[in-house]
This record gives sequence, structure tokens and C-alpha cells, in this order.
Amino acid sequence: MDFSSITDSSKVLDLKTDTKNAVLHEMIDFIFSRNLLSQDLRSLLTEKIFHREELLSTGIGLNLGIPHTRLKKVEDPIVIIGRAPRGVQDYICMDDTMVKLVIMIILEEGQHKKHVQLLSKIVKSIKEHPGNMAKILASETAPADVCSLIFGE
Amino acid sequence: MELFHEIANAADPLNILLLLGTALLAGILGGRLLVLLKMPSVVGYIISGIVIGQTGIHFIDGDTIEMLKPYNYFALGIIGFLIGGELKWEVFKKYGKQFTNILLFEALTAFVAVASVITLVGSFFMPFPQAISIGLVLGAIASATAPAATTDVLWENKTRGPITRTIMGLVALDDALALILFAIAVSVAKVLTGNGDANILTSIVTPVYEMGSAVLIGIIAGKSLTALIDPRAEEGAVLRISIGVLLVILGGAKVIQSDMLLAAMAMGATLSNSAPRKSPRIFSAIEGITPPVFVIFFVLVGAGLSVSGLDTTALILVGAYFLGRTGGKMLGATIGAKVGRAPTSVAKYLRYCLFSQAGVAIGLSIMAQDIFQDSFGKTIAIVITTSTFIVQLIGPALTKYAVTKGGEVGLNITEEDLLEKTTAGRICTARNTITEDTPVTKIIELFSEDDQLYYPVMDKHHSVQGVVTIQGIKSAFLAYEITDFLLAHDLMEQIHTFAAAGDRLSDVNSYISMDEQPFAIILSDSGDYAGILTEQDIQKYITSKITEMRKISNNLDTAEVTA
Repeated sequence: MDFSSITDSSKVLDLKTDTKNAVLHEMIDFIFSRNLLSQDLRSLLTEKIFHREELLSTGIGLNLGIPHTRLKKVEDPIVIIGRAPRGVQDYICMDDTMVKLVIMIILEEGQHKKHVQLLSKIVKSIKEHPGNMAKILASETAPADVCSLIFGE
Repeated sequence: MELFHEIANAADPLNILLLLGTALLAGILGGRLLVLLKMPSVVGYIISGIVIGQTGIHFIDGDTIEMLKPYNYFALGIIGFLIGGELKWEVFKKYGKQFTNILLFEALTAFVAVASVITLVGSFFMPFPQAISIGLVLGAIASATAPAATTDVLWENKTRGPITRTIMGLVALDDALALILFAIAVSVAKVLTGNGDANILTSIVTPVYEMGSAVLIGIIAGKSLTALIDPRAEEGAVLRISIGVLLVILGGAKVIQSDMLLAAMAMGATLSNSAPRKSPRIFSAIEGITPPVFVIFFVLVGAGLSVSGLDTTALILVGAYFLGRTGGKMLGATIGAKVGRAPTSVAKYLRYCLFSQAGVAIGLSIMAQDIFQDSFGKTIAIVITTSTFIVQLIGPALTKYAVTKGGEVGLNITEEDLLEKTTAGRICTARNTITEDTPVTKIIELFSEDDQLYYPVMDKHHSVQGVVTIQGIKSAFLAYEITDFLLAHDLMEQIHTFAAAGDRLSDVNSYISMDEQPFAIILSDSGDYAGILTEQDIQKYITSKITEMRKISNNLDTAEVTA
């Protein structure tokens, strides 16, 4: 899977809200404001993202949260990167760290294999380069650099 | 009535065309109506003939029937030819002593029984030589059994086993024996009634000549046909040559006063045994034209019947024929089965399966009517046609009784039958399910513990949301970084095929086989999860069911005859 083109700088945003629910809604709004998905999928996407959170928090660790789902009618993977340097208050990871980097992933329904590969890539990238998290969250780091820090080889 | 007769006579050059066309259409209509009443269509053809013939509206009169005699010979020739085609040496070898005993006993006992009873009863109404003659001819006809009505019952009820196998062999071969007995009976009857020469030498030589020459020209015709047909010839050419040779042989037999039916039968038997690779095409080509030929034939049979001929004498003879044939067939079948050490079920129940009589019997009676037209010919035709109605009413029902009691019903089940008759709910398995929040580590453990390949994923309302497959979980093996994070929800695939428990396997199988997901989720009537049905489950079920039926059928084969 070619991760380098999985997302781009236009899909990096600095989060304005600081609670989990609000952050997730902010990122969903971002998707539809950019017409990355058809408007009629808004309520379904919201339902599915929150449903996944109910099953088990997507705060995976190392200040990283990866809310994700799969939908029909998604042509290309949608990867939105949200930065919250001060942390999202009630979005706690498995290692008890607070989520500061939220990467929302939406794939086509049948792409469970790609789904796992993408999740794995993100986590591996952060784990293997722990110093990158600070760079990613720094305001002076340009969105394009954020992408390459996470998905670059 | 006269009006229809006038119509029939109108536009004289086209008369035969109009009559044949009407006969065909009337026969088709009559046949369809009788099938709706669960009776053989041949009875419908005859009834149609009665309606439009001499008893009914006289659309077809006696002169026309007389004129169309060559057509009857042609139809009978086809019957004889096809019967001959069933006389394969390998069939006798395959079925062996057991079968031959039953065949000879049931056919010959019926012959002897009917000949005796008819002679005895007939002697009260007619001169003794005539009574014997009628007895012999009816006796010969009595040995025949109608294949179609009997095999229809076997086919409908999916039977398999020793009774079924024996019937399938007998119904074709006892017709052949009937033809031979008929040839002998007719020859003897001719001498007794003065139709032939009364000289003792001639009375022995004549039957020998009639039958011997028939067999000889039949063999020559069979060999000629084998040589004339090119294996690469197209269907039409095969049919043209076959019909041509058959017509020549029938006409030639008449010229040299040989037995026509026997000649046709000998031709079929020669072809079948000497050209086993070529002959199926030839028989198939001839069979292809039989439907309209036989419909018209039987309509003409009915048209030629005059109900006024059904007087007291005829009715008594009908009764005697029926009783003699019934008793003879039942006794002969039972003795033959015991002598041949057939399985118990054959000895007990075969005797109920040999009642039906139609095409060949009626055909032979028409021949007899023609040969003995100045004496008892019409009586033969009336007796056989009337008794045919009776046995066709009871024959199929008794056959069904016999195969049911013999335990053979439903054993000849095919894959298609099972797919049509079995519902998904019957064979689906309620495999273990997992919840959406089941961690992948647990799922891997489950896959390693048993051989289940698909785990349905349920939500908190116990509805199926997807399925985790062994293929799907492979991607999780290498993603060790996120193993603690992944759930069934993340790995599950959407289900492509849902089916109701009451859906036929054939439908579910067709959905599954067209899809890359080789399974369906089965839901109960209330929409709850009932189980999974995979392609493998379906195949396994079919194989085991067919094996089970074959085993039961084989056990019937090996059941010994009790003394």
C-alpha cells in the first residue's frame, strides 16, 4: 500500500475543541465542509465513528487517537489529521496518556485489510520515531511536513 | 353428427390432411385433459378418437380408418423397432438368471392363464377352435406390460432398488416376448380358424416361416442400416435413412407374408447389439418423431372402436381377460422371483407392478383386428381397449403401493432433488458467534481451537453485523503493534448473502456460488440469526444423503428371498 499519497497537507487541521465528542464532531464537519464525502453520509459516518468508540476507545497510546470506520461509497481512503497540542481532555489512551494527535481514517467497507495496514503503519511510525510526536504537534511544523513525518518512509 | 362427416368429406383432395391434423390436435387435447386427471395420456388419445370416430361424431369414418391402415403399420413398426432396441445382450448378462426367470414366468404365466380362461369362457359363446384362437391371441397380448405408465410412477416417486430395477427391465422386454408370442399365436390361430391353410404340415411350417423370415430380414435390415449410416452424418440424414429402411422392411415383410412387427423388432435388436455406438443416434432420431405419430395412431384406434361392439359377450371376455391376466401376472412374478432367488421385496411386491397395459397391447390388438377382420378381430380390439382403460386406472396406483411397501420411494434422489426439496434452515449450523468488541487476540485463539472458518459478528441486539473469516484475520497476524487495539468490528466483512431458513437450498446455493463469499447467513422466521450455510455444508449434505439412499437401496438388494 502506498502510504505517501494516502493524505495531503489540506487534510491537516489544528483542532479548536478540546473534548472527545467535540473533536470527533469537528473532524467530521471538516470532512463534509471539504466535500470529501457526499453530504448524505454525514449521519451514518457520525453513527459509525461513535459506535466504534463505544466498543473500545481508539486512544491507542503514545498520545495518539485513531478513530476509524469503513463505509460504502467511499472511493479513496480519507485520512484527516487533527492536532491538539494541549490534549483532548476525556480522550485517554490505553497507556493513560492524553490524546494529542487524532488521525481519523475512513475506508471503503470491503477494505478491512488496507484498514489494518494503515492503522499498523501509523502506530509503527509513531512508535519507532517517538521524537516525531513533538514535531508533529508543534505549530511551526507545516501540514505537509506533518504528513511526511507520519507517513513518510 | 352428419354435419361433421360432411365437413370431413369436403375438399376431397385435402381430406386426409384435415383428418390427420384434427386427429393430432384432438389427441393432444384429450391427452392433456387425462394427465390433469392423473391418468396416462394414451388413454386421452383413445378417448379423443372415440369422440371423433365411429362411436362419436363420425368425423373419421370406417373407410378412412381402412385407408389409413398403412399408417398404423408404420406406427406399429416404430414400436417394434424401439422395443427391439431394448434387447441388448449386456442387459441380460447384467441382470442374469434372476431377471430372466421373472421375465419368463410373469409373461408366460399371464399368457397361459389368459389363454386358458378365455378359451374356457369363450367356448360357451363360440366354436371351440375360435375360442382357442381368441385365447391364444389375447394370451399373447396379455404378456405385455406398458412401460410409460409404470415408469412414470417410478420416476415421479424417485424410486430406486431391486423392484424398480426389475420393473425397468421387464416392461421393455416382456413387450418383446409379447411380440414373439403374438406371432406364434396368430400363426396357430390362422390355422385353427381357417384363415390359413388347414394342412398339418403347413400349420407347422407357416408359423416357422413367418417368424423365421421376419427375424432374417430384420437382421439384414439392421446390418444394412448400420452400414448406411455414417457416424458423421447429421441428425436429419440419420432420420431419413432410418425411416426409409424401416418402411422398406415393413412393406417387404408384408409382401413375403412375414411377421412385420417381429421384423421391425429384429431390426432394432440387431442394430442395438451390433452397433452399440451408432445405434443410440438412430434410436434417438426415430424417437424424435414418435410423439405426433403415436398420438395420431391412438386417436385412430379410438376412432375405429364401435361401442356397439361392447356387447355382453365382449364384457364377459373383458372380465375373463382382466382376471386371467391379473392372476397370471401376479402368480408368474411371484414364482419367477422365488425361483430366481430375487430379494424379498421383489418376491412380495413386484406382482403389483405389472398391471399397466397400453401402447403395445393396443397395437397388437389392431394387428389382430386386421388379420382376423372376418372373424373375431373386432372382439380382440374391443376387449383389449376396454381392459386397457381398467388397468390404466388401477395400474399406476398399485405400482406406487408396491414400491412404497418395498421401501424404494425416494431412494433415487439426485442432487437437484435435494437442492429443490431441502430448506436452508434444515442443514445450516448455528456456529459460534462473537461480539463486535471481541479482541483480535481472542479471535485468533478461537480460530486455533476449532475448525470453524467463519465467525458471525453480533451487535448488542444480537443482530448479525458481519463476519470474521480466517482470510480476514490473516492481516492481523503481522500487525502486532495494534493487536490490543483491534476488535472483531475492525476485521469483519460485510455479509453478501442472507437467506431465510425456509429458502430452498437451490436458491441459496445459486446465490453463494455466484459470490466470492462462499456462505450465507440464515435467519429464522423472526429474523434472528439461525446459522451459517457454506458451500461445503451443502455439498457434504448432498453427498451424505445420496450415499445413505444408495446404502438403503443396496441393502434391499441383498435381502434374501424367504422360502
